[in-house]
Amino acid sequence: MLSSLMAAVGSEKTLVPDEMRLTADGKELVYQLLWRSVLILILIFAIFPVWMMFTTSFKTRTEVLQLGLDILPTDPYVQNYFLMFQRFPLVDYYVNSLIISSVTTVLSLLIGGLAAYSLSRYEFPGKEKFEMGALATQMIPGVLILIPMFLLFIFMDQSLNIPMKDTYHGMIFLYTTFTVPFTIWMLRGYFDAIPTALEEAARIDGCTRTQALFRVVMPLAAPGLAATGMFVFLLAFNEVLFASVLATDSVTPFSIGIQNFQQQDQTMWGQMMAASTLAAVPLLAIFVVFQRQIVSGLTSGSVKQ
Amino acid sequence: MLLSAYQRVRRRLPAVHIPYVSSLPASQRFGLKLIAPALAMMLLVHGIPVILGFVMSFYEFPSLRYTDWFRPETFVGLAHFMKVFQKDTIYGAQFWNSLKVTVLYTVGSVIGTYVLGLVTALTLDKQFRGKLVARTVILLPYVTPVVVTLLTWRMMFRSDTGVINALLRQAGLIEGSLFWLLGPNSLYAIIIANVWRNFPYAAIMLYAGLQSIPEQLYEAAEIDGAGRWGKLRYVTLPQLKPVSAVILLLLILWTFINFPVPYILLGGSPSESGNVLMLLIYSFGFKQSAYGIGSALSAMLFLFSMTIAYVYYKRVVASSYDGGTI
Repeated sequence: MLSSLMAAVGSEKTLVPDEMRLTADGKELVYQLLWRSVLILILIFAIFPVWMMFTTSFKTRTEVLQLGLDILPTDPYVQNYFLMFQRFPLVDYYVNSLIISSVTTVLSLLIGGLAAYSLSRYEFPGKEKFEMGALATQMIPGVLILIPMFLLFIFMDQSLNIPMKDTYHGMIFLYTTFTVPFTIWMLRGYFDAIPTALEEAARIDGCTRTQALFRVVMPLAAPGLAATGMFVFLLAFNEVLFASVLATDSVTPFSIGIQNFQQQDQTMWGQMMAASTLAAVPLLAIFVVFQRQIVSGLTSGSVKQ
Repeated sequence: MLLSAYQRVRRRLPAVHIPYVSSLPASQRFGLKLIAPALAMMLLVHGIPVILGFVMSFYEFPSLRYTDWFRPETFVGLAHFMKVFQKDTIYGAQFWNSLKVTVLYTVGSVIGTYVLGLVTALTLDKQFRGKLVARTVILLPYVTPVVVTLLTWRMMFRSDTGVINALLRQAGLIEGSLFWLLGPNSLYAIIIANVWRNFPYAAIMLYAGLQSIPEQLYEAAEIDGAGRWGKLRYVTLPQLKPVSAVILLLLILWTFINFPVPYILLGGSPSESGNVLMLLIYSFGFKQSAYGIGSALSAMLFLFSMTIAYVYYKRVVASSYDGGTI
């Protein structure tokens, strides 16, 4: 039906009298209006939940429960931002998350960076297999690892006396491994783009391979490292599945702790959204600053191939 | 500084000789050395648990004394798998329902994400003022911490006082309240939240793809008399095929094994229509301590997603890069 309609419109049949048909300028205008309004709708869709988070953080309990579509907080209730700290140890959650995520980022960049550099420059037996393996790890459902991992952690706790569950090093070890394949994938593109002539020159000047890597290549790849690091940080910061099982007591990260605002009988939406806003703002600020690198980092991996 | 410290330590250590590796040329050995830490970690955290997971799916575990798991009592062979596949057992009924829900969730999310991403990319490709601002806003869903945004969606989806129901009521589309997070609508709720979360990724990738289409192709199409629609149909979309293949592959996998969206929106024990496989396995493993069944299910999920990935990779990604037709 649609195609017949299109055909009727396209075939210049006299469905519409000549004087009512749009001129070329008119068509252009309609077209401009159309795509601009589509873009505006998409922008609203993209920003709406973030905006709701922001406005709700300034609402009292009763205001949250009232029906209302007020776009701007008319009478901001700032107390949410203070009360939330009294209810749960939010600062601890946040610090836990920062420790776990930043150490993960550093380790993942180091280990993944070495491997990515190796893949980009050197040939060695089993290279293809390693590449495929790294890609395949991205397709393993988390739960498949989670159940054995949970039991392994308990085994190490009880039989070997190595605490793993609810520790920083346990979570950092897990997250580093989960993010390394991603780091390899992203950094490889950056290393490929750095000309090999520079390292060769450094080698001729008497650098060892290791020195050439750390003194010449790594500084040149700094923008790529920054963008990749930001993603690794976000991945670790956002992780829920493993954290909900393996990091519950003393190392509860923010992503798990914030869900405590949701109680059986009531939810402190205002305070929860205030905590959310506080958590999101630094990350969004980093994103705005590094936007260019992040966007090019996101796209370089797959579009270029 | 760290580097020189490393070298000082390195000099003191005795040289290690691994039979096969030592015979390789120095550059190959260096390459291997660089991937060694990554390889070791991946074998430890991905390799061992995956194998263990498969092994566990053949055993019955003492559910109350789970600390004794490494002394599994009974080898049950394929019994867990049989239980899961039979539709008339309680496990089987849940599994088949979950599989259906997961497929619907994946298909709905991927189509929604891709179409919205494509439309966004096409509009971003035009010339207008404030493009950088628009791009930043579009990327917001992707860079805001996922837990935070999902909790916000949970708030907006509330039945009585949620803003989504309020908007729908204002628009006259519904009367009263819809239940989004309970009952049959929970599938739509997780699809909408997932599309919102992922469409910026699709949009930015497709946008980069659009920029790499040579201008000459459009000029040639214009000479051949193609209008706007013609150019989109015969130049843009075919040229986007390779990048679309990558995006679709990633989106399918990400959605199929996605956990945070259903878990945070629907909680650990969702309604039937939102009970995706990941949640089902999670509840078997950590709510009912049925590790055997849980492992069997996740082993199947693993094989399933690997098969999808492999077939798709062979059929679509590989062939489109070789210039073949999809």
